[in-house]
Amino acid sequence: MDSYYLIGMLILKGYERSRRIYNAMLCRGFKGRFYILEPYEFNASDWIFGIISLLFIAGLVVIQWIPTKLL
Amino acid sequence: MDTNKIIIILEGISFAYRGSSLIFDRFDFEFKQGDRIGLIGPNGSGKTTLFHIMIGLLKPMWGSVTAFGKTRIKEIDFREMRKDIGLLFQDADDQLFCPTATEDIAFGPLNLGKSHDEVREIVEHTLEILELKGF
Repeated sequence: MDSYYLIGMLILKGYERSRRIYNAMLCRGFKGRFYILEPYEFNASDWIFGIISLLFIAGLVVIQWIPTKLL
Repeated sequence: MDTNKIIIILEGISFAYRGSSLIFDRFDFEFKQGDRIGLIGPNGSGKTTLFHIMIGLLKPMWGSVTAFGKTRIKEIDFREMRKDIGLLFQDADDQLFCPTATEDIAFGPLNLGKSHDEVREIVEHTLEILELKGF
């Protein structure tokens, strides 16, 4: 029974706080867009990470195809 | 009467939260330049509500809000004036929602469309004033 109260209060308090924070954001000129101070860029390290991830996934697919007898 | 000196005028404001009786019933208020006003009232009498109506976080059911010589009706009207009016919430923690102080300070200027260099300057200056530099 008590856990219902806990979950209920959590949702309620979270909702109330979200409204207060939204108001605070409006007071500071929020127009529905988030601006980031340090913009992200897609650079070499992202390419490397992407390629390695793709190779890993491809590897998983290949392993899947190998008959279990051979393993 | 010198209207330039009046910053905020509330005229005939009526307001009620959903499902409750009127908190404001044709309420008039004038805030002049240089005024320092203390508002005293019991809990639930509408002190916070009044401030929220002034800056457009709550829209009155009737009546008008005039600030800096312009009647403010829609969200866009209020958006323009909010950069000139500061409102401190009951719980200041609600106004600090970014992971770092730098981002919190940068939030407003970025929303106003300032360039990244300008924002960085503002942040630096603000941190210096507050003696928060290096944290």
